[in-house]
Amino acid sequence: MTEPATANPIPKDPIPEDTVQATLAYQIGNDRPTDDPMLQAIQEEVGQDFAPPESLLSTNFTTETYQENEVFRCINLTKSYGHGISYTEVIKGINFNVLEGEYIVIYGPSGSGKSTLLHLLAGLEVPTRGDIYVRNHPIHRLNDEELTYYHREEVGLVFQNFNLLESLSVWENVSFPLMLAGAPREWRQHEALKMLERFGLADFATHLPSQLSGGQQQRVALARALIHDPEILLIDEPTGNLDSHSANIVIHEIDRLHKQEKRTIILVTHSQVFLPFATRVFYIRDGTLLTSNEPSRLNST
Amino acid sequence: MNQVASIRPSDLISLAWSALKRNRLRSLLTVGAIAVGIAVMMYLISLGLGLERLTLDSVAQSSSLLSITVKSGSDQLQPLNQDAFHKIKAIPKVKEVLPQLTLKGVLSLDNQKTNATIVGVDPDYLQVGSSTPLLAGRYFQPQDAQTMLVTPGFLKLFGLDTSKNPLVIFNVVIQQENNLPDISGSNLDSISVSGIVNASGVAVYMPRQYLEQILGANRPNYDNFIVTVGSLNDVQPVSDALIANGFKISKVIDTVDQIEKVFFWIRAVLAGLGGIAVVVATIGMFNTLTISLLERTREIGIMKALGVKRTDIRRLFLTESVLMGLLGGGIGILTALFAQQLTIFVLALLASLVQGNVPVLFDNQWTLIVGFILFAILISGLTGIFPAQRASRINPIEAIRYE
Repeated sequence: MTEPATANPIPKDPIPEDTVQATLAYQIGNDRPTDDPMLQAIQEEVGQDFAPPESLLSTNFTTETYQENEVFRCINLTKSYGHGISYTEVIKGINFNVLEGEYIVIYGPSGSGKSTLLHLLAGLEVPTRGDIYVRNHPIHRLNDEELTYYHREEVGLVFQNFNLLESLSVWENVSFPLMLAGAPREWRQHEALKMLERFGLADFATHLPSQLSGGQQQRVALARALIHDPEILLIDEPTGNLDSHSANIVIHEIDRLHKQEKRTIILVTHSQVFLPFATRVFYIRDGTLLTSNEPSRLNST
Repeated sequence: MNQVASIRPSDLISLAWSALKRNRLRSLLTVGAIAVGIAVMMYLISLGLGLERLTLDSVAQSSSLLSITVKSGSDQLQPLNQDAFHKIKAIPKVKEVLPQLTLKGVLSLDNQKTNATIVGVDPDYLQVGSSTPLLAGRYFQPQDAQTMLVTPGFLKLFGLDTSKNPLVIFNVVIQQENNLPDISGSNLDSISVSGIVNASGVAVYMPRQYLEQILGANRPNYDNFIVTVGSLNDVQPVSDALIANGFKISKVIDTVDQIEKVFFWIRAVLAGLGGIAVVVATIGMFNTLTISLLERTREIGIMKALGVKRTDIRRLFLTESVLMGLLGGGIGILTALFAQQLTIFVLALLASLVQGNVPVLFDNQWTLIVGFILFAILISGLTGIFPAQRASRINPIEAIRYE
């Protein structure tokens, strides 16, 4: 047996101590074999003091058939790039499902394939092999119209580098998804202002994204992802480009979206600060998943 | 899954507009290139049209289009005498036959004398047939005697003012050339001037019937007839009948046809030159759109990820290029109009030095303006198709990675 159960992991991430301590103040299990190669690999990444939750090393697959409360189901999901000598497999046959109301954090070092996994779930990339189902619809086989519908109605995307449209004002960015649906301008503006109000950005509605700070831009991106009230939120490294104060605001806003609004959230990060908020953590390394089977904290939150 | 809605056209235009505004310099350069192309083309074509109209105006009035000139010549089978006059008059659809009698004579005022061509015509000949406008005074009546119309050139020889009808009386001596019956010494005293006509050379115009009266049997053959018809459709059958009767003819309408033919080619050459400018502008625009596409790959990726349809991406890019074409066309037309005014102004300055007039050089028909706007929309639309197609095919994830 190694470390005491109460040990706080010492982060390698350049995140201020207080933030980490505030967000990581939870108990993690310690009943696992220390010689497990995957655990060793993770500890190599995040520090020896880190011990993953109890159920971490069990199988990550609940069922291969559709169940009512299932949002995503991935079967033997594989993504590779290139041919011949340049062939690289980024995602290596991953299996998992995500249920309604879960907050999944896909956690892993850079280059582990975590962003690719998120893009696959977002329907922005097509798997080389395997299947992805969203509510039992195979998104890798949707046509342009259906995929467009998925992006407009079902899912909200937040990117690491905000990805706001530079030529549009803040409120126009936020209400962009509504414009696609053909909503009248006045109504769009009204909805956008309501959403910006919620994120404390109402005063910046007519600014251009380039006139905002990184934290503000990420909140605008969150507002945009939420304006069409999607059931699923896919978030890529939301605090990667933010200072600790801005990061804190974003972290808690996402937590609120999960706890209060009961949205299904899948968040990709290499930072430990999100781990305490997750119902399940998927550890990803070299394209392979290591997940907790049970949505263990789902009921406790 | 449901049918997905498309972006509203008004939103499409405002999206395209904000994209153009964001790359202000590049958009302006592209719009400028199109504007220059359209302006050059429009300037040249309206100049071609204007020159053609000026030429036609000087050749033909609408009344002269309805006339056929029967000319005399050495190879003439039929001399232009009284017989010929009646023969032509008898041809169906002929409205009037206006003969012209040409003589030589000496005109004197006090001690001054000059040789001049004496032309005997009916007033209709001047008014309808050969469109010789009156500068001052009035035309004479067919039955008038002892009166004549003169040319400015004639008045100048006597040092008289050419702008108002001179109240002077000439003596005229008719001299017959050639070996026709001798009528030398036919003195016509006290011929007053009734008006000045705008014709070149030193000539006077006198009532034909009066001259024929004086000359009697010594009258020579007519120089030519102007045959008028009632409508344009009658020109061809009457011409055919005249030729069949052995007359040699010429028609103003033929000249008009020739002028139109020549100017068609002049216009084609001018349009070709302008077309080169437009082609250069189009290539520039194509280049701009393609480069702008590379720069905006990420933006397009974001839009796709947010649920913009492929067709909407294509429509957005097409809207942008058509918007630029429309702006370029509009600015080009305004530029051309301005350049025309500038040309006229400069020419007017030059003309004022030599006390001349500047004719209306340019012909801007509204169909031409509308045509150029449509043309600008068409070429910008065509230019936009390929980049728009490429934009719609962009893989969103490649685009989002693209930094």
